[in-house]
Amino acid sequence: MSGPADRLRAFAGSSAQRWISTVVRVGLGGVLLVAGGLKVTEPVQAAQAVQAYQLLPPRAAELVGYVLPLLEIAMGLALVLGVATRLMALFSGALMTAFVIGVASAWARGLSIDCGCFGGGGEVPLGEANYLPVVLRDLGFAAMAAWLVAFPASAWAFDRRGEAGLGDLGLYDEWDDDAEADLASGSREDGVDPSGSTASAEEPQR
Amino acid sequence: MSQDSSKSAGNMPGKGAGKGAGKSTGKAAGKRAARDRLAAERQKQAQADQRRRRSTNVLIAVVTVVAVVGIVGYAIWASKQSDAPTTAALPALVHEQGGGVVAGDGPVKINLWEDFQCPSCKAFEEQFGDLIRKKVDSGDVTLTIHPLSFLDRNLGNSSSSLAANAFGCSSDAGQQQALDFHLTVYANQPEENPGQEAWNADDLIAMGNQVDINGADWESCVRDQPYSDWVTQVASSQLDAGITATPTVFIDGKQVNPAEFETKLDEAIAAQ
Repeated sequence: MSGPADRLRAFAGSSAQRWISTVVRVGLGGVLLVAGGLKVTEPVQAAQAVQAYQLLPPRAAELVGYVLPLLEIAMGLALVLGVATRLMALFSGALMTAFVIGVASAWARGLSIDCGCFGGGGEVPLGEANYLPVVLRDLGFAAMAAWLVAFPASAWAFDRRGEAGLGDLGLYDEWDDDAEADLASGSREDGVDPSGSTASAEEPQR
Repeated sequence: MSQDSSKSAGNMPGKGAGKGAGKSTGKAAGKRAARDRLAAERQKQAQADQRRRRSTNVLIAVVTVVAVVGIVGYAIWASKQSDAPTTAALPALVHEQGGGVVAGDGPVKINLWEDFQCPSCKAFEEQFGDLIRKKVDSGDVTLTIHPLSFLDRNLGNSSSSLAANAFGCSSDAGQQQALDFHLTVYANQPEENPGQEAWNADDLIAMGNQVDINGADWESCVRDQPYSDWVTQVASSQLDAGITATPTVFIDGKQVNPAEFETKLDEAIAAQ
């Protein structure tokens, strides 16, 4: 009676999903905050780190060195606070994917650089470059971002249920509404629901 | 809402006039249920609309904040672009704004990007400094040395830019003096020691004295750094040249692995 789609729908909006998403959201946001914070005070060094990838024209790489740390901080802050979670997760997923491509291409081209992910960066002595852990780590961050795109609803977030950013593009309106309806009718066991204040406020009218 | 229900109620009596009174109570209950359903439907719709509006506002706000942050970064970057002075006082052997110190006039062009505090540059100069010197003297090579100063940032001192300026000063004394001074500074390069200066002005003046650069002009030039704008220009030109490490060596415009320098130089000279 319950196919995979139904089970997915049941999982989306369940309290397990919400708490996993909370951990993922705060974790990913924290990583972005730290990465941006460590680089933002050293834009020249960040610019050199980007140049060392030899992927962008020098001036463009310099611009990235100035803008990227600020964007990371903004996105990290939004994720930690849970504002427009899905959109921010989409952005940071794209960013992480770009990082993976950049590091993998440096690896493939035989460059010997430090990724400069958390400050530092630039060329390092031959044999000291360590790409695999960086690629795996960034893939992990990308996976976290993908999770949040799929399941943006979480606890301790500014976003309310169904408002996790991009919710209006239709993909998840259904489960958002279902979740609300289930919650209202008491059919779902949803012990923790910090964003459910609106729903309970409307309860007496039923 | 209330308008709608009153309207539908007004229509009903006409339609159901011929029917029995017993049925009317059931009908009223049905009507009430329909009204409730309608009300619930509308309320749900209103909530959804409100959610959608709030969600849209949040999205707009966040996108705006991210865009503003990006623009701030761009503005900082753009303001840095004008940092390098377009017209700087140039040392005697520097022939264009932001250019390196030029020695010799041979057909093979060597461009050398170095930082006076860079240990690999010291190693490169120890290995090839005399060879390059010979090829300049023999008229085979035009040597351009671009003294960078990015290690000042990495090491938290100002020794690279101080030495770069002094190198400019040494070229005022002549080509041989400049090449001598250049090698002498590398020979005196201490171990990298973050937070500590590698040398001060007095040290550099003394290094000049070792290679016969003397006098009040030399001393004041090292101390007062009249070529600091030029040093900034050279530092900024690093970016356009795509230099990400030192030493970076070009022979006739082609980047050369320092390990293969001698072979490549011989090839280039032979090709002339």
